[in-house]
Amino acid sequence: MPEEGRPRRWWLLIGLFAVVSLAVYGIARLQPFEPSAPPAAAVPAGDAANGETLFVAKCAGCHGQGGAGGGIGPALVDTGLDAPSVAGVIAAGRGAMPAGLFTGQDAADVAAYVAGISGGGATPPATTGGATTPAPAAGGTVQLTGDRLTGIRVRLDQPAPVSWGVWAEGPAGTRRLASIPPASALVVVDDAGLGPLVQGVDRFTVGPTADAPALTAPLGADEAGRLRTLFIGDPDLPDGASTLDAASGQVAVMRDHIRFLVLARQERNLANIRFHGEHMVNLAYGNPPEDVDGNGDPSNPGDGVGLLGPEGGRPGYTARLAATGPEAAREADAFTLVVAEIATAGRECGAIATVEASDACVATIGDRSGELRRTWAALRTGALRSATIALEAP
Amino acid sequence: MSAYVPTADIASSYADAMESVFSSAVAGKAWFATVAVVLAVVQILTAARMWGKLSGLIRLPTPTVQRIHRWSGRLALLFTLPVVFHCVTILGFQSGDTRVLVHSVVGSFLYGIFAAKMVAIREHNFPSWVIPVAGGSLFAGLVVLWVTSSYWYFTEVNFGI
Ligand code: HEC
Repeated sequence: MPEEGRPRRWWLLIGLFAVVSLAVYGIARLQPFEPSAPPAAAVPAGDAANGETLFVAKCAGCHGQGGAGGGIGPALVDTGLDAPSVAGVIAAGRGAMPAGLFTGQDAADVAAYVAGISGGGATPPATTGGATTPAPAAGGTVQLTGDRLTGIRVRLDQPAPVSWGVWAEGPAGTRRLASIPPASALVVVDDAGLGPLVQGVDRFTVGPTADAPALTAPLGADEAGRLRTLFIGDPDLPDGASTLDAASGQVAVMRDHIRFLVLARQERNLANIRFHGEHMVNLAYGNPPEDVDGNGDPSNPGDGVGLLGPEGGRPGYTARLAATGPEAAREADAFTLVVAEIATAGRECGAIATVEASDACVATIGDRSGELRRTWAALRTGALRSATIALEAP
Repeated sequence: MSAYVPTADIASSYADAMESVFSSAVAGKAWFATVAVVLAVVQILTAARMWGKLSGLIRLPTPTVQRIHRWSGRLALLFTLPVVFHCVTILGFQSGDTRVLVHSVVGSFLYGIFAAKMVAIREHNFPSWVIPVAGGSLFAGLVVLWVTSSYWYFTEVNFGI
């Protein structure tokens, strides 16, 4: 209903739209109240134990249990970050990570905890490192790090008295990996640039010179072989993938198919509910696949090994990982429980008679997806930590 | 004569205020935005009723519906203010990943669309499609912003106050 003779003021409408949008964009670019990272000296000393509790509450969702990764945030273990830099990231946020998740003492506590697990300072809580034994006066650990064991983290029980080096010795000779400055007890090298450090290495040595090491960490052939199948490649597995890679892949496949199952319920597609229910069973127990839904075609979207493995058959991924050490063994229980629950509910969904009757089993499976990811991240961390060798006097 | 404003203090006072109620400033923001979206749904329903739709569903006299529309709109705007303050002045325009980029771009336009809609309802002589298009865009923008922030926060980070 145009009013008598008044011109339509399009310029006002469009102009205001443009001016206001530009103004908001401009302010957002200027970001006038961006918190500056607190100066190092201003970070109060943190209580790492309290920090751990806080970390579980707000950070682990993205950075994984124990900062092991697995969520949308990067792994924080072995990154060598110190408390002031962590506090800076907490205050300012970074990328997808929101700013200001904690402030004040809480932020300091979390920073102390993260610095501990990252190896950048502070002592990690006593629970870490299943293979670490309270060593005699002189000792320490060598932990191989990174998805392909190309990094190294050396922690000494007592600081190096003078400048020390870290070497890898093998049939092909001795190669220097890192230096430890005097009075320092920790060195972290993300990638030593030599490829996987479990190939062609007999032992790691630490000390003033390569010829007269103060401490050595022998890497036996069995241990090296175990680490190679775990991290680099396992001829027994489909495509020769490493146990960790293959298992990660199967967890991802299961989470995908959980989504498909929930979608099938939303679309009221009975055949697909049954089909994806069958997939849960076969992803969990591997081959031979069962024809749970009775469509005459036993199908398994996984690689046939099974997260749990066929009962009484070859070991599935969980058993392989649990065998890597006490820490992984402990985490394997929770993971097994979740996968078994999913498989049981999957068996129910696979033979369901009506769409409505599937509500309970679909809900059970849908609810377990997050738990599956969390328990998997913990199991993976446990297995990663198993790449730790004790440093002892030669 | 501009006084020196210690900007970190503004950011931390804002965080302190939010944290007196919520577990973190971000959690507070997620809930404020959620209230705004709920009010925006009320906006869409009442707007539809004012344009002669849904009269079977909303059995209220038109003046009441208009009053609800106006007040839910004002309230929704009010609830977006702390959110926009935090997003625009403290966090700023970011493009780290697709979610963040979409959020930043759509967020830049939201108040612009709002301003245009205000012009459209004050000036009575625009074609009749202008108001529904402006209002619809405002609603769509808000929903996109909510999905790329609060919904993501509730599902990926932490569902709780
Ligand atoms: C919403 C998910 C999310 C949450 C919650 C989160 N982060 Fe992050 N964090 C990230 C992402 C994503 C990055 C990587 C950002 C980038 O570099 O683009 C990151 C990066 C970091 C970094 C830098 C890592 C490096 O190598 O430089 C630190 C430190 C960190 N986060 C600590 C924390 C702490 C402590 C908490 C809990 C208070 C936390 N994060 C909560 C997603 C998150």
